[in-house]
Amino acid sequence: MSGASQAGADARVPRLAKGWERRCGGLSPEEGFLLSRIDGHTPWSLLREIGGFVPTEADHCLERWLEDGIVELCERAPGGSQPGASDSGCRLDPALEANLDASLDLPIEVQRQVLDIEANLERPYHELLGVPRNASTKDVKRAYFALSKLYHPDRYFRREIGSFHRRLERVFKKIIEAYELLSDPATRAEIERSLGPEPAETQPAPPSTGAKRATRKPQKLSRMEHLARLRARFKIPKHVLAERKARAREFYDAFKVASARGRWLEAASNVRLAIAFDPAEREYKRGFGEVQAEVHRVRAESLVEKAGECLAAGAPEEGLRLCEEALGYRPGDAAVNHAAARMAAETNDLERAKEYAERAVELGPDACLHHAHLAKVLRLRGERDLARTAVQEALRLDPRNPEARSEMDALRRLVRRG
Amino acid sequence: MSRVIGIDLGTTNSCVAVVDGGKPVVIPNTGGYKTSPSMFAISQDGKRLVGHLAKRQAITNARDTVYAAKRLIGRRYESPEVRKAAEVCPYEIVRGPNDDPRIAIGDKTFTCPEIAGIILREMKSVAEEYLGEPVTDAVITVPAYFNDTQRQCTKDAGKIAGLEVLRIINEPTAAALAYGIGKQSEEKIAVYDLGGGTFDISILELGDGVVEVLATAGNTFLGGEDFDRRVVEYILDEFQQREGLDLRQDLMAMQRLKDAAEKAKCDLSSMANTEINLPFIANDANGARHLNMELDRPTLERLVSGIVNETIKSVEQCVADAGLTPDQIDHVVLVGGQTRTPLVQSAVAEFMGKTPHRGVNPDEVVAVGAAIQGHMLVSEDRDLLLLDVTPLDLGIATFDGHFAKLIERNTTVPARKSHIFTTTRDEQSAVKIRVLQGTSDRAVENHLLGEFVLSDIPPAPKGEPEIDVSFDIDSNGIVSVSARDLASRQEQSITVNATGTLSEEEIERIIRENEAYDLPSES
Repeated sequence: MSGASQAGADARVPRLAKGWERRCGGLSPEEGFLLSRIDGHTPWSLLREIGGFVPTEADHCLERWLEDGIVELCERAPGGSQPGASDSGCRLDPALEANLDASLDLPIEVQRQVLDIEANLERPYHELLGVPRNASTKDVKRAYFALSKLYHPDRYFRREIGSFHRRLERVFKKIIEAYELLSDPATRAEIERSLGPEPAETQPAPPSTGAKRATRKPQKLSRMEHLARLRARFKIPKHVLAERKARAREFYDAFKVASARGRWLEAASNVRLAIAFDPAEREYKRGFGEVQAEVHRVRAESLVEKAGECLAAGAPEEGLRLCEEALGYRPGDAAVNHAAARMAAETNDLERAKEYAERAVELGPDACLHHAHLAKVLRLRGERDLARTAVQEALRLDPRNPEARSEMDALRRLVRRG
Repeated sequence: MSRVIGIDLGTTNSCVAVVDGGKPVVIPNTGGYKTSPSMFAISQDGKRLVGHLAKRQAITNARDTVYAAKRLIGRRYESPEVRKAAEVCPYEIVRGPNDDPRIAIGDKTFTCPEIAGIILREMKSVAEEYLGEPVTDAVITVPAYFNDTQRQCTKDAGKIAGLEVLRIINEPTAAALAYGIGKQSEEKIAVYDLGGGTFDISILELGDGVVEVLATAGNTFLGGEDFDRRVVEYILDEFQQREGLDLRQDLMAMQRLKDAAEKAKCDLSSMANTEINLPFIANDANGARHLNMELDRPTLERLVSGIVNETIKSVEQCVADAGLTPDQIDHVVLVGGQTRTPLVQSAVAEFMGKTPHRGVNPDEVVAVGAAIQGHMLVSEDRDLLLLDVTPLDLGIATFDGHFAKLIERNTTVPARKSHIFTTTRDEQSAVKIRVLQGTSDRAVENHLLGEFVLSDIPPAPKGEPEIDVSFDIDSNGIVSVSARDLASRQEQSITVNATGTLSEEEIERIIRENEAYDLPSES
């Protein structure tokens, strides 16, 4: 379970090589994200699991960047891990020692361990599980299983253990939380970032953890205090910060060039990288806002086009789903609403069709087709008077429009039938 | 200390097992049967009958014989499943005061936990008969996909039967436990459980002394009974075509048909075709009518393939939820009598890319697993640790009708999640929270567990009070809610209006009423 004995590959830490930008061509979104997370601190074992890559693909990408001189490896001493939670023979704060009870059907040592963990539930997840920061998912799981066997409440089912029933539940639920967050690569990456660099690099390692922890009073931290604590531990060396800012500026420049040429998706990926490297710079966020609108327009258009294909292929439900996704990007776009209304009508969901058709008319009152389609939906719903108003407006806008005219005919036939 | 029995309370059949001398044993009843039908009847002369005796007189006493009550337990009277059951059941389903479905037979009305309790009591006596000592503790299994209300009702049924239910465990997990005990290897398995009334699929990882559920999915209203139903419909239509007679209104004929359909279905698992022969099925102006037709396997498979495909879709979803592909799964274990159908076996084998494991008895393995879990809870033998999950998202209804998830499905239990609530009006003294379980984004499509009211909130401007509400799911998969005012650190008063379950008083009353009955099940 110890990190120091990990195979060499996992513990490698890549960083960006000098002049990497010159050697790096256009990046796909997944590559961009992976690149933005290479900072000389995050180990390879973690990088391969975050972002849009399958781990083996991430490996290939990193190997390729190593070869091309985009990325290089740091010299890194294996991170000293904090000793695990199950230190035997640790002594507790006297206030906690008072909770021990020899008469309970629970070994004193286990009681001590439970009290220790309970008093420090807010400690970092990897410490809770007793694994090093760069532990693989498999090791995390093994640690979790080993701890489960000790602290799962079922182990002490019906035994006389007094207050420890409740304590065990709290401890065990926290252990599960630690396992679930550490074994999901995305949440694990976030936790890694918030913890900052390994203590072994920037501070002298604290002495035997058991004693050190014992003098901290067990407190229930409020959310604000907890966040303040996290911020205090978040220390990045100045030169690393300066590098990141410089890189961010480079990406922003690339964004401006791409925007000027109307290459929206490229511009969006560049400005996103800029924000990833320097989240504090407001200018980048504004730039993102501008390009976002364009990207959404492009996305929505392609979704509506795909929806049309689905409709032609006889799958209007899928078409409707795509249109609604497009609406998620551009809710105020009359054409998208109109497309959604058509799809909904095809699937016979007249309630939704009416909603979208009305929105289309609201947003695009000068388009004859919007009114004509609204008229059709209203007619199908039996709302003849409203349908008549709509079709009249459609014909007013464009008396020769075939759809509007056929809608008027359909209405007339309906009225005649009574 | 009394021993803990494991009871598989199935839709069609129930089974009881116990760990005896270190080994799990399936307990036969006095007639030598290892499973008993989950049926309860009141005979014409007012006698209460359970199990095999109840089944034997089901045809002549269809109106007052209850079967498949598990399909109704924990549901609302208006739910589509209860409506569907009411269409085909010969016994009468009425609306109870809590909007729950109740069954009227003889001159009494029974709640569903009560019916389940009567069957559990029967299994309890079978165990006591075999062990020669009283039994008070049990582990009872439920479909993995059962929601909180269905689990609570099952627990109540145990209470009614005079059992302390140590744990409610999921059927596929119990099967995996029975399968995995004593195994040293690390493996990933899929448990495909198709029983009389419910379907579950679970993906588990075994190894290192732990049985961990990775993901689970299912359908609590899909099972062998539906297979039977399709066959019955086919026979009815064929008969109507040939003879011009619709047998649907004839209760006795329908019961005979149902029996014959079930038997034909079972026969076709080992034979290529079978005969359905029901002389004197009906009487009309032309005299006595007889039903005699052939049913072959291809026809049966055509009738039920839709149902089987539904199950495979759930399997697909579950494998994806577990973050795996079918080839990463080492073994497939089939549980439940319905998995004897060749079509089911081949469909599962095709999707999983491997033949299912044949070493477990599909009718008994769940009870065995339950017995093992019961034994582990009370003894020093802790060979395996069970890490099970909750099958449904747990969350609350937001003001605009959406479902906000708090504990996602496939989270390991026991689990807890807190959420901070506050007021929306100045001086507001109470906040109502609607807790739901389900998989839909819209609150109205999910199952309402209950409405909780946080009251006695001290007057304050809106948005200021911070009440930390904790949602807990325990190892039984049962939900509880507690609240704490963050400012004062006091426990907030919180009242529960749980839907669909019996109150303590009702349970007490039912226990008292049932004490008088000593049910014969085998003559």
